[in-house]
Amino acid sequence: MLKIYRVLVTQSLAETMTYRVTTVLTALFGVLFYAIELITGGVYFSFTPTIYGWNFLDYLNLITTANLISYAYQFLFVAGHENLVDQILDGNLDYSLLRPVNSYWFHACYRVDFPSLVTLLLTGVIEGVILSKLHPTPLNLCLYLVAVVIGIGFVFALNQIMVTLAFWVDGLSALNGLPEDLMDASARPAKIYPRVIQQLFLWVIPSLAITNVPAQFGHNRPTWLLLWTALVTGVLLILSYIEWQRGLLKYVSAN
Amino acid sequence: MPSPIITVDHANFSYVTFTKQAGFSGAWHDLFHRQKSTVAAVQDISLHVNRGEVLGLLGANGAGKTTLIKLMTGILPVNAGDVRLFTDQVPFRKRPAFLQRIGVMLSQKSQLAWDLPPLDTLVLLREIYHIPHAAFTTWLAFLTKELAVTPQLHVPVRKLSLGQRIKFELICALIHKPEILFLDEPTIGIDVSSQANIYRFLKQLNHDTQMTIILTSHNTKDIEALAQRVAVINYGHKIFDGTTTGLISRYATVPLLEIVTDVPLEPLPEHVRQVDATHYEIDATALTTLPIDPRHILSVNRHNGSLDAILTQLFSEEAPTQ
Amino acid sequence: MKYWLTCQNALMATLAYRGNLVLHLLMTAVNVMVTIFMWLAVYSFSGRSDIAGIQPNQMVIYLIVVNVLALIFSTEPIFKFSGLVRSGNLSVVLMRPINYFIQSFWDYLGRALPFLVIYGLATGFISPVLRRGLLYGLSSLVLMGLTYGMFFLMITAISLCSFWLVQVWPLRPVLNALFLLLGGQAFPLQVLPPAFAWLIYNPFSLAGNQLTLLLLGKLSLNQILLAGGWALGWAVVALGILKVVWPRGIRSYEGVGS
Repeated sequence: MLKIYRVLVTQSLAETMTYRVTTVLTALFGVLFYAIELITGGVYFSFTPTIYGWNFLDYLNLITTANLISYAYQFLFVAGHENLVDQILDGNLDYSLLRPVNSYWFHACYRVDFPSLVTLLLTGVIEGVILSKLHPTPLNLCLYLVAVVIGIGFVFALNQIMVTLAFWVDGLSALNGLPEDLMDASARPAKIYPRVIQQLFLWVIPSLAITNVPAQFGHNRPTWLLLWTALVTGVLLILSYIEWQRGLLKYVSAN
Repeated sequence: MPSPIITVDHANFSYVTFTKQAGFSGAWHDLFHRQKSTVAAVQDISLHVNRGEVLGLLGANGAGKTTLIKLMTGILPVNAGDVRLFTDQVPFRKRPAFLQRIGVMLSQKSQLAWDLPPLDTLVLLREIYHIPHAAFTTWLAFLTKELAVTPQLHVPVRKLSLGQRIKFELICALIHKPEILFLDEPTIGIDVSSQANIYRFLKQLNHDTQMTIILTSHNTKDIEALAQRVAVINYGHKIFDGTTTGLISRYATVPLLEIVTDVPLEPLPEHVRQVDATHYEIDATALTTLPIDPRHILSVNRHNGSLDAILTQLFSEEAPTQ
Repeated sequence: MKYWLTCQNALMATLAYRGNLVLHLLMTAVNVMVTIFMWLAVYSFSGRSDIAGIQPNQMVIYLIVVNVLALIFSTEPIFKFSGLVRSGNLSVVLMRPINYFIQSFWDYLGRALPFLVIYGLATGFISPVLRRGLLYGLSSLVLMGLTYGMFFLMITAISLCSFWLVQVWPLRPVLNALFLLLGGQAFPLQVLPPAFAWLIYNPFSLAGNQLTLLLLGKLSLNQILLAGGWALGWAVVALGILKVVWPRGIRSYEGVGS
């Protein structure tokens, strides 16, 4: 499997090289929107030093971590997911059914998106600087990283579930943007939301927990919510796998 | 006698389609009460193929030949009946060891990465099928040489001609040296010389390696050039199974000879019907010798003896009532 | 009449993809909510009841209205035009006995119709604009119309770059970002330090920020006049660009051959 992945990564790189301008532009836009978030955050905190106990640096840590998670997802999986939607809608999965590999992982990992790597690395460096100022303890730093990895898994699972819906629903392309919008809306301190919304997105669809938990470990406020996010992510991954199997059966019968 | 490599036993496959109603109210209605209709794509087909055979599946568009291929390769499951390959493998279970032994080329689908050279896709397949590097290199060199596409190995797929692309699709299906090769419309839309090249190559491959080949086509040239045996599928039923000559002799009715001469025949001999100035038809059963001076004959064609004519007639027949 | 049909078709096209439209509106609503909650938190922790002359409840209306405006002032004509140029269908369109730009305007109007209705209703019911006397009401309406026409001309002028650029998709995120920042969609430009005051007369701000403040009744007659003047100015610039660039674009398009 690792050997196959290496080939896929090499191919992604080769494809990136054919579309160099696109690559550069995509990377630039990533930076642009991150900059807008920074400016907006700066505007908020120009009126007050803290919001619900989060100062500007904590807030930066939060939005940068949220960006880190979403760029990591984009780098690793977004191109594969985009490709998968096309393949499902064009009815082009026949060959996937005929190859002696696990089709779920093959399609999820089909391509990596190198333009996102640029923004991912940049965000990583900025987050490194932020963390060096926040001084998390070694344990909290480790758990921060664990929480980020869980976050990537969560975003992946949500997107995988949405993308696989294409087996049943067509013509609802906006559906695929839903996880991204959800994660964008979650890149804020959970406490700014009314209690009901907080409970909903911390516990039921824990997208707020996914962004808030690592940020909290970053500024030394550990939380047991980490375990919950891990559990939910695991369940979502299993669900997406089952959905994939059911989707293939559906694909076959609609052939 | 060795057991057949493919056994299809009373296989059935049908699928459900929904008819959509127009307009908003129609869509609303469809949401709750959809009009279902069942289409029987394959009905009670039995087929045995021996190792090393080349079997052609003939049929009009929508006759069910592609569905039959999908049943045999395990893309689709049978609703009733049984399909087994290599005596004990049920295709739809898709055991890796089974998938390793079959090669499939579907003309309507592509497995080549559009922006990359074919070599990249082939390298990916090398890893997927665990082919040793050395074996991969020599086999690939052989395949590309035989199909005359070695220089195109490093050209991005989007810059290849259709013929070259089809040849690489074929190479993709062959790269892991499968024991059974399934080809769905292998020469659709490509030029005559590429077709001839592919036929010659497949024949040689079948001869040298005893590879079993199943191909579908509605192009009779494909079948005549390659297949030792044909099965004709019409409206989901198998209506003939035998050699091509068997097919011709079974369905050929009154043989008509179509003759073109260099000058008009004066006077018109008996049993000869004039079509136009130098173009004649003769009922071949009515005469023992041709009543025309051979020096004036430019061409003679047996009209209804060609596969084409027979199939056109067969496929135009009404669907059997169900 | 034929232009009215274009407008109707465009409206139908917007409504035809109901599922996508609803999801899109839902996500816009979510984004607005996020910004609203963030601002309410800012108000509550800063202990201020007024930021840049805007009270918390007005800020809520501001953020909702500016996002509706972002839907009205879409940049879609750019990508439509680029599609025509690249597919070579522009020649076909130009041979029809109608003015492409006028048709495009009606199409633009039709697509935005549902959102225009929302903005209109908000103006009629929530806003004090129409209750401040005839002159104020009329000049407000003129400003709205002027800004709408100006933005369409601007977008059309930008769309002409399709004659020379192979890919125009990068304009989409750029224009979105511009509307977010310069249009006052992320935050009212008035919260910026005074050094940035000149920013409010850029085309995006006129369309987003100024029209929202107008609806909130925050613009004086003088400010309306000033905004109107700027809108007219930008419209003239856009028209000038169109007049100069269009013939050259057509020449280069036909030179390429299609």
